Amino acid sequence: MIRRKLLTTGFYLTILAALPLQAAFADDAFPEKPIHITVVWPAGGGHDLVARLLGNELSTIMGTPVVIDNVTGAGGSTGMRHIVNAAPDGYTIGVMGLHAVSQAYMNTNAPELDGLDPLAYISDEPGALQIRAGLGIDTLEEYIAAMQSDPMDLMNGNDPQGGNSFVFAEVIPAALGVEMMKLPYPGHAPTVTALLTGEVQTATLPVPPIIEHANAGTLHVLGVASEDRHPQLPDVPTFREQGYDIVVNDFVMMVGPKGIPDAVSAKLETSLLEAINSDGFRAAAERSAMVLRPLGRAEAATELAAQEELVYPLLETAGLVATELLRN
Amino acid sequence: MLLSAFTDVLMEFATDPRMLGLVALGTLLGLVLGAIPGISSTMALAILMPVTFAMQPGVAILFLMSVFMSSVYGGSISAILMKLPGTPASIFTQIDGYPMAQSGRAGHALTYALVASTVGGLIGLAMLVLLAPVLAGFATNFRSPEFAAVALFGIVMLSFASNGSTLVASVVGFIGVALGMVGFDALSDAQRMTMNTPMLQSGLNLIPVIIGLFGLAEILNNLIGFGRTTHSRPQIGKIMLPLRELTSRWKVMLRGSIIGTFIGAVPAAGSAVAVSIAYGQERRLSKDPDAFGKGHPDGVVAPEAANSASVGGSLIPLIALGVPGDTITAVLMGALMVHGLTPGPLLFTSSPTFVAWIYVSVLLALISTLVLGLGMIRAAVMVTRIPPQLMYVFIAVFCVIGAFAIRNDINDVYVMLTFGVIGFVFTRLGLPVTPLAFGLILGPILEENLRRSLMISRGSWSIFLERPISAILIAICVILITLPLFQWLRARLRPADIVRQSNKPL
Repeated sequence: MIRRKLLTTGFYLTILAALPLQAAFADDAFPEKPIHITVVWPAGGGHDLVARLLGNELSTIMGTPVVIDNVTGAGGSTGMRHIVNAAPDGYTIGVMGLHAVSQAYMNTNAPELDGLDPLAYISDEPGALQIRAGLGIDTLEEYIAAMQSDPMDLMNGNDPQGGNSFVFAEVIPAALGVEMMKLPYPGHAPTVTALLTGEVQTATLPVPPIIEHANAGTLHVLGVASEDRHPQLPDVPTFREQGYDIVVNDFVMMVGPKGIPDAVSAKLETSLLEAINSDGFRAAAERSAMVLRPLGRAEAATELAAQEELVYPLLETAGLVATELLRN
Repeated sequence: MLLSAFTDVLMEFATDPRMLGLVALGTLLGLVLGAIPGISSTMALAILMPVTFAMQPGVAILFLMSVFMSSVYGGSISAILMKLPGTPASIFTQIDGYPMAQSGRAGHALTYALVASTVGGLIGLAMLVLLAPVLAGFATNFRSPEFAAVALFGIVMLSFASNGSTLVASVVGFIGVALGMVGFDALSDAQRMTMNTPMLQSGLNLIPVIIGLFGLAEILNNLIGFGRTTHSRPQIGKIMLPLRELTSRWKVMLRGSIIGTFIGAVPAAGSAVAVSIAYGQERRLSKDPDAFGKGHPDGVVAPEAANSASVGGSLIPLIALGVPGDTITAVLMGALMVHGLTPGPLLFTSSPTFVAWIYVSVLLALISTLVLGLGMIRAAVMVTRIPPQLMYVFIAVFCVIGAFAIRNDINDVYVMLTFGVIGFVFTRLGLPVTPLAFGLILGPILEENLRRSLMISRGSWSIFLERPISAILIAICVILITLPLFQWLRARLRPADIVRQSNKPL
């Protein structure tokens, strides 16, 4: 009786074990099976939204289903490793931003950036400085004056070390010549909440998470750290216009593992750019306050290198670079 | 104005057969996706979001709400039948739901869960409609010190949430708190207890831990006695409950719903905290606390009501303030933004119709979940007719799939396996495992907010007593902890006959 039960169990286990053994055959006509876009953050975030919108367009353009995989954990490093270690056949690509640059220096287990091949640059996400309404501080000059008289009076909400709003909170006050008291929150949504409930008075978030509150007047944007004004905030001057040379931004780009055959990589580049420029994606991107700047592979690689040069000194000064990864 | 918009939209939707068909479709998808372990309500929404790209905004909201609301109950189906919580919020449903299913009351357990879920959802919705501005104001009073106090309150409740020694439960709970620290620290991004390995850097995700502790450990426990004991399949038993049984639990449903709505309305607390507090509270108040964990219907009703009510609660900060209450509402907000609708402070004035859409969608989704859910119970309980040796294989496979699917990370499967063994050993040693889950949920919330509060106060602990809500919560915690001490003192000082009366649990 026992043996029969065990045999039955064994039988079903064998069947189940055999299920994933579907051989995948390579062919030259790319793509001939679904393309997977890896998102290193949980479903519902900014990158996830970009991937799902883009995937929707890409599947019609390339004529193949596009699957979104949220491979999350370890500050995005698990997902980046997933991309770097994937077979370089073009079927696994991913979305990345500034976080991956920081992690590459902070975490010895995070993949180094030279394991990645940029495929297309999607958008800039310029830094900005926001302040709660009702504090009597509506302009950058008033903010600087208030901060110089008492630096501890206004607290700033931002990401933990390495996140984009942390980088903004390093760059912006340094250029304004003020000391900023930084309070970390795990992510943009909790930072917005803290700003609205008044736990912090200022934040250095990018524009998308605060656009609605800025329009509603519950907070003021004191400046945007880009060369041109933000398209969704045409009345807010840039820092440059106000006399401070601050240009700092996060970015969103599509990458793949190093070594994708050139023909495949070129086809991905063209299709991705077509998807980014499609009406559907453009309209959705505008609604969520993204600043589109579609660029091809080569320019994306230049941008990535420039970001690396911006972030590394900041991390080094803050003592966040892992000893093994310090540059000499 | 809002009420007339509400009835207008309700009439528009309820009289359109295409809309009702869409609600039914969304509900079915939500029920099935929610019931699959490893697919949380969040993922169900994300997976189905592209389907709505081509729809009108109102229609899309209706569809997504149907998916969302039904997946909340769907998570309980696998929790009750297979001891595999489909969503984090159904962790506490399986503690009493699974024993009920094992003793031939699977139909009853599912009915309790469904009805409690519907009632909780309706109460949450009613409070959302009537009290949204008030509750939103309440929610904005919650800052880091209050979050820390709520988490502390939950941890105090955990000592009431399991059978046996309170001390043992507390120790196990604090192990859970410590396990919650593994990975990157939420405030400084520093690594803790990771040994610089990629696997531990990802931290211990709640879902794989829970699936291992409860699902896999259960299989291992059964394998010990496999073949020796005659493993009779549990009878299906009656599906329908006498109405009296349900109505007599109105207090439990009401308490669970209120806890769910309020905790849900607090941004970032979320449904998992709501269900843990509701469960602990109900067990504490019960006349028969030892029956909890062995198939007490209240143990199913309270967390289910709280879970469903927390949806209404979490929509309050979303609609009134534009702040998503938890990850699920964050996904929902993302989906709404795709359709050009941004929840936020301007919403009530600028587009009351949109707010009415959401309310009507929640209402229709709840009703549809009740109707379709009742219809599905008969089919769902057939799962318990599957021979045990086959069932264990299925559960084992689902354990692996569920653990992997949550983050698409193989390391989570190893975490699940490890905690399966830990759960098995704990059960053999007679240690409770529920407090471990409590600790893992509440520990990180407590730590993060405690530390941030102290950063705000520049290290002064008085911040917790200066703020009224946190002071009150801490006072309640102190009372709960010291009451047994006073009772013990009184028992020492009084004759023996009083001891028996005062000996009833708190």
